[in-house]
Amino acid sequence: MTTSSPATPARGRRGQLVAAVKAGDRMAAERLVEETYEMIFASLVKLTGGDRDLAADLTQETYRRAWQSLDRFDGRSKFGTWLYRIAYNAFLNHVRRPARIRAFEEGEAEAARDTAPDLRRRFEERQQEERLRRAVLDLPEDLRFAVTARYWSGTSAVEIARIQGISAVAVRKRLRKAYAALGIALEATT
Amino acid sequence: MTNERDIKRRLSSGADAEPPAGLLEAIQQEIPEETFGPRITSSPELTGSLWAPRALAAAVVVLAAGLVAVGVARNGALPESVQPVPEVASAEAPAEVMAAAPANSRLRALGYLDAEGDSVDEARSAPSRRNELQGELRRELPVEDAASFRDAPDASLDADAASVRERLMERSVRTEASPRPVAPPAASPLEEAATPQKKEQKSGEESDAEREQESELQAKAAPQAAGSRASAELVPVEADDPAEIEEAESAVSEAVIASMETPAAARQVSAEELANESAPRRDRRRSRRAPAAPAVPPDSLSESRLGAGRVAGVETLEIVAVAEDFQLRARLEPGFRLEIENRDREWSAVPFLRDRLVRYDLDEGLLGDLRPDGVLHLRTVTLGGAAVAFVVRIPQE
Repeated sequence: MTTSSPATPARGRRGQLVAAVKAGDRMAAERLVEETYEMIFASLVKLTGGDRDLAADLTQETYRRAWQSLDRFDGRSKFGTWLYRIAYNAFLNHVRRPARIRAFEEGEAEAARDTAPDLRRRFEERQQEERLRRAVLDLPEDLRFAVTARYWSGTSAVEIARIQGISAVAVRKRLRKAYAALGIALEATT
Repeated sequence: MTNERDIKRRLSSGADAEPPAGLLEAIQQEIPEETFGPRITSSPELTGSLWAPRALAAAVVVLAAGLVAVGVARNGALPESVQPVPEVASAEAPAEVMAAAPANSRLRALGYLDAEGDSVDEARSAPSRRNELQGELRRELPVEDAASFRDAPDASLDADAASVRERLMERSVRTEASPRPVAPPAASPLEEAATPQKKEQKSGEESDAEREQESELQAKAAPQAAGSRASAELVPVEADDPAEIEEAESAVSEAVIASMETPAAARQVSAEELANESAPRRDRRRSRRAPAAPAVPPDSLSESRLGAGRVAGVETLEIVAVAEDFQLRARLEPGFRLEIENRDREWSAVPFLRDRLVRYDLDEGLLGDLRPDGVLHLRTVTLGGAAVAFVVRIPQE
């Protein structure tokens, strides 16, 4: 059973900034982008498995969608959390697109042209990272969002609870379920 | 089995990636104007005016004047560098002081002018022309000459004046003999009245004129370069006409092959020309894209090749058919990129770039156009009516 946490309006300087943005203040909007885009980009790099170009494209897409739906931001969660949710959806939309765009296997390409002595170790590390990423992306939606928001966006369990409309206890339960599922998945692929 | 702690550690590992340069600017430029108003910038390029440098210059002048005023108020005197030249009290003043003094002061000290600056003795003083000559002497002669002029006896003043006149004439002749800058033709009153407005419109008109000129150049260049690829000129094909789509597909392969024969000079295109063609969506990436890493040889798929060719910036370009799908593969030279724009479908509206080796699968009808300026335009027309344009262009930077 899930319970909705009470709506908590965003407060403090960031809250004022968001209020100014909603009032149509361009300078505030630019400032808000400055304060949030690095976090969004970093989380998208992890979601995309290190594809910086794609992450940059999706970061831009995230803000485009954010401006379009700014009126729907009710301040229940932090603005950064709300933005991450949009970024996460943008990423999912991207991977769910028809498989007509085939990314070049960048990991293999790097390995092929890298002549460093620790090539094998780095290659194995990359493989492990990629296995973990794929295992995360294979999780059920509720677990997947909880894990990526918590670890790849740095969002607290309380904040995840707010944006998901569930309790923090429920978020922690989801995270534990996710750890178990990931453990099984990684064992199977090792 | 992997334990929970290990999973958490692995999920948390890895440093955050630094965003590419230009990403912030690109995002900020996309903040919608209809909601937040136009972006404020002081760049003359963007505003099309020179108000910012002028305002800055005016501010510097005001600041300098303010500093002088503060100096006067504090010290009761102007700084040494802006002290007025002292009056000369008598003819016994040192030569350098005399030379530095104002002309009227010097003439007063020498007894030729009274306190009001009028001549005191018509018999002794030269005619009014002498005063003029003396003034000119003050301006024209070096300090030593001015001092010798002071020491000259009264009777020699006329001779001195004549000498000065001669020297001034010489200077005048020398000046006339030297080349002068050619003045612009005099403007009529009507033109003069229109001048301020013209200046304001100049930047805009120039850019319009440049665009027109470039369009004309491109139009002129097209027939020259199109000779070898006349058969590659394509016309839009209705999406629901399979026969025409098939025809267009073969035309595309012709276009790509013909590109090998396109003269290199015809493919030269400036970044500026390309910038004029670019759509806003493409522009936002131009500033943040860096040349990609070296490419890896494409893998060897078994496919029936429809066409292959070479255009500026593209090392290899292949349009291949795999089963019923088309696939475009391009390996780009450093500094080039392949941009793809879908005009109708949201899911592929984001231009696509994968280092220098690009693959894009096409399962629909293909249209294309290789322009003589070296810009490759390929377009797919889907059965649903969506169009995808492929553009190879030179980055602005």
